[in-house]
Amino acid sequence: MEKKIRRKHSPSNIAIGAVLYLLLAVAALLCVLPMWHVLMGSFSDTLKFGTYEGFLLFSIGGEFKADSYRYLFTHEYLWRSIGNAVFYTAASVALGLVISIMAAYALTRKNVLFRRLLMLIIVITMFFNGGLIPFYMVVNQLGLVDTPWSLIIPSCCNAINIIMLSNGFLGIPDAIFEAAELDGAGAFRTLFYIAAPLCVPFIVVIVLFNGVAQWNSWANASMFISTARQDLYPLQLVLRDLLMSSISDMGLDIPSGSGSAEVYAPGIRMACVIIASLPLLITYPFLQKYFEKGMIIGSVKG
Amino acid sequence: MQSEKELAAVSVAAAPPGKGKGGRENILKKDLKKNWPLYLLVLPALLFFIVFCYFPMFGIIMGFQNFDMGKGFFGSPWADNFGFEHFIRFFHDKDFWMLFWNTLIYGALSLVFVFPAPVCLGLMIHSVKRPWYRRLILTCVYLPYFISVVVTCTIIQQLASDTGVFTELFRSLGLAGEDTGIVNDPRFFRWIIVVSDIWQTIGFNSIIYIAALGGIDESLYEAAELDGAGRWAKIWHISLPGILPTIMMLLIMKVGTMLNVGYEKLYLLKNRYNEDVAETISVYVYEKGALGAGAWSYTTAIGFFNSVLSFALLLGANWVSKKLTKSGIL
Repeated sequence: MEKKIRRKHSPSNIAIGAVLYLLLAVAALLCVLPMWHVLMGSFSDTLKFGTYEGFLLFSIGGEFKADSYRYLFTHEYLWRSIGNAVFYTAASVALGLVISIMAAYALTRKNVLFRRLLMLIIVITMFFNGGLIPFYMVVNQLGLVDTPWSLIIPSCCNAINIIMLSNGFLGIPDAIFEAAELDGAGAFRTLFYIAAPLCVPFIVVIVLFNGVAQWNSWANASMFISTARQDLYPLQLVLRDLLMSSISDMGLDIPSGSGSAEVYAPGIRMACVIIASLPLLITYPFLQKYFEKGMIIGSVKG
Repeated sequence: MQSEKELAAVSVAAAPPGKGKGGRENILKKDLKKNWPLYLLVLPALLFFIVFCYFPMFGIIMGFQNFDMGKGFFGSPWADNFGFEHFIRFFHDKDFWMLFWNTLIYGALSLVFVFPAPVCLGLMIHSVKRPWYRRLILTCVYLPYFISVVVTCTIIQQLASDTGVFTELFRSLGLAGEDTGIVNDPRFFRWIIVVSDIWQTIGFNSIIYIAALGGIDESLYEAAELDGAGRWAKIWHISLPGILPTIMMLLIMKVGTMLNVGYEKLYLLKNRYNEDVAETISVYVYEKGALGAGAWSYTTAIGFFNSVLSFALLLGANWVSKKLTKSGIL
């Protein structure tokens, strides 16, 4: 016992502990700083920010300026794309959730003859897929390309959600279902009034994960929505355009006095980054524990 | 709904299976009669997976055809050389080896650097005993995971462009030239991808290891301490073996997906200066197939080649893992 105590407080152990705490602090800072840099940059004078007069704080060497946001919001479709993104995210998460809950519930009931077969059909999709082009072809053949549906239906549901919810339903004691059946409740009533409310923690986790994924996604949108339908763009796609093409082609209302519009590009991009990450940054501190839980639930049977 | 109880009674009576001729058929009938509401509940999901997962799988035959949008999957003529024309064309393409090596290199870099990082972080965080400090660190390191790819790339562009902070830093160390940002420099581009991948995933992927470490029996550590084991000995002999099954499982899955590493990011950051090191098979398929209409059969074939390779890697990793640690996922 004495040996143990001596070990714990030996100088080398304390030193290692201190280094450990320091390393972790550096890692944590490195994770947060880029976002902080962008936040400060978006509120600075772009021209001065470029010369490092305001790397960490707009108050150092520059003053608070929202010009970048002003220019950004002259983008013809910006408001619209925010609305689109909210709509696509909400609709796709809701649709996916309903489909997954119903399937997971039915597949965890006993005495369903084809339960295993159906579950296998679903699980196989985790390991095999047809690839990008055939997927695009199917969506195209269904006539969804260049409609909002292409961003709501094809990616709303996945096998992992159904497996997670199945685990949730399996955790409910059988006695509850037997009681419901004795009281004459049918499958639909049992599901929506009894089983689903008992699985709320699982549902919250799935809504959060899918919500973040949908809000952040852009690759599907860039495939399914052509440049001719910019009014259907989600926010991430507007940001993609800001990133990949020249700012002067975006039709923004930028003062042309001080040379080319390109000099304002960094500030405008940073402002758009903040707008695109805003929902997340605001809710993040409250939702963090659910994300953690979700990662653990999701990996139990991943 | 009409006579739920009656049906339940019937099904109980039918429970012992295979009674005489037609027993199987009877069970099927009764199952459908009793469970139709449940099958109705599965139907939307089943339709979803058939349409958006199995139809595309079937659609892989496009890669063996000269697909014609007007004629569809069934009417399109087969490609030459018994359908393998597009594969042969790809193998003889002047860019094939460039794409192939880039794909492998990104996969390997990701496996060697991005994969072990969360294990290290997990071990470090696990040895922090003060709850508030642990909470604080975790809150910070998770954050990048939830930032979208487009946002990440915009930030990278911002920090590593001509006037970016990192470019400036590299210049002051004498590593980067004056003329361009390090994101355009083929020497640094791969490392930018690797470092940004670590940045984005290290915190979140460490959760699973922290959870696994939390499941290790505390008395093992106490016993080791009594035997005089130091910090490293405990990590090496208790912590690592304790989370080895988790590591192996995630490693196998990682090997299975490593050929698709970061294609969204590569596509977004690619430009004419760095394209020789930024183009992988997935990027090529995305660009030539999904965005530039026309080369559908060709890119389907290439995508399928990539998937086959991935699956072979998955099986290989699973086999090696079973030999070495007696645990696998398949």
